[in-house]
Amino acid sequence: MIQLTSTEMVTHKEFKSVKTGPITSDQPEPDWIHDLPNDNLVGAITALASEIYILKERLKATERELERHNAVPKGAIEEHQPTEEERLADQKQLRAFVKRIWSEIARPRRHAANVSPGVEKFFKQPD
Amino acid sequence: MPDTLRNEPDVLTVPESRNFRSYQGFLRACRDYMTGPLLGDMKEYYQEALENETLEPSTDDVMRILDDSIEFQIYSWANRHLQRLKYQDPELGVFATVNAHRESLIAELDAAASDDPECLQLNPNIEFPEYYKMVDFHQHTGGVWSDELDGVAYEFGRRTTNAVDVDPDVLYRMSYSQFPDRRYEKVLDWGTGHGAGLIEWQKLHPESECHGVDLSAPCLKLAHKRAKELGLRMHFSQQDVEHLEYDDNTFDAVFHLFMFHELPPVTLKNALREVLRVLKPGGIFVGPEIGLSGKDPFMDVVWLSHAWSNNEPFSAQWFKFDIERAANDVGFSRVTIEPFKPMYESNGESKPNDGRWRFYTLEK
Repeated sequence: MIQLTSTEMVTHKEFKSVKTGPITSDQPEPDWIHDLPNDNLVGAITALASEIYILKERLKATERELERHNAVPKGAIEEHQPTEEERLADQKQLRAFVKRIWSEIARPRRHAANVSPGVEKFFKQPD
Repeated sequence: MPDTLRNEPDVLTVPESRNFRSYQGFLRACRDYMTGPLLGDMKEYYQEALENETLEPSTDDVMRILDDSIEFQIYSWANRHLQRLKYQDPELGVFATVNAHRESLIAELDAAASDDPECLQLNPNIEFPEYYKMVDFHQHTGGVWSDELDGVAYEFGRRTTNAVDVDPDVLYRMSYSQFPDRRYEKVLDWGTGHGAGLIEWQKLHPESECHGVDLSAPCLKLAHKRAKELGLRMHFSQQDVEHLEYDDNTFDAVFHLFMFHELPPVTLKNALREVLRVLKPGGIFVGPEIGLSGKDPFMDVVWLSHAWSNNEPFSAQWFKFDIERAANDVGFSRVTIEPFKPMYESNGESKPNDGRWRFYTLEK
């Protein structure tokens, strides 16, 4: 049976990602990933980029097929002009898109959900 | 939310966009990867690290090995942040999606609550225990009690906890299948939340008078609404498990689903005393709970670390809690701890019984 001492339960400074105590809201949000090789990150970005290329290629093929079958006039997508209402909606979506990405990069180290400092006082076993 | 409920006009439904479904489906797939292949890779890394060791690894050894594992670091990030992204994405998160329909959802809950006070008893003056206010359990921001729509968000959020092909209510049925086969005239769901477990019980046991308690008013309002939608007359009440408001000897069974690890140990013992009081002689207090296996230090450390990072700070204390002693101290006549059999049976041979899933029966 695994046994943890009370000291181990609350001390987790010596570990990088293993947690042995509550993540209370007086601490910054922990860093979890310490040893990810850049090669792996580049691999993941390349995989994501390949998926984007596949989507682009299919979209291009779809546009061509639509033009060939006269579902949209030739050049219509390239020359597409949104209405004023659509333009405003597009701008709003673009701002939200940029914010979504950049707010993740610049995310403050606050916890999304809290555990209050001092919660350890409830860790006592009953008599 | 089951598809069968979607088109019923009286059923409270949170409208969801195609993008929301895609986004949440993606997060669910990430979670499945985390608990499947990534966990497998972690185990492989761990076993390779131990290859030349002859002694049994200590907890500290396991922690040190895992701490250097990229797989474990990513697993830990995913455990913490997939939950955040599920709830918090500013456009596609559960909170944003629920809040987009805030007024109508609140109106629906209020309308259902106002016309049947006997079946929904809320206590606006209830004093929440301090531990309950200190912890946003499962990283549900603000806890499941501080916003009027927390019950809706909690229920709605089940979509990334369960695989898409898994019925979210199957765990309740698994638990009930292990109850002693007898007649249950009056039952209490202890920590009923959004009520899905008690509703499932009522469907299987129409003879039972069903009661559910919870501290969260938003959850109880939703539970009440869901019961009404199905034409079920059930009783939901806002109470603290340490101070139940029922008379002595009221229930044939009190049951729960994985509640023990959410309570501080002293609270749990006090709550056991209250359960004993409200049980009829011969009544039972039953339910499944997770523990450490003692056989697999790798999974035990992973699970402990998981509990800390998912804001379940009393798990580690539950793992040390001597429930047989506590139950005997407060007066239960018998305590039975068995494997949570349906869980292991459903896992098939790929996940053998590692002893972590247990089923507890306390008899009065």
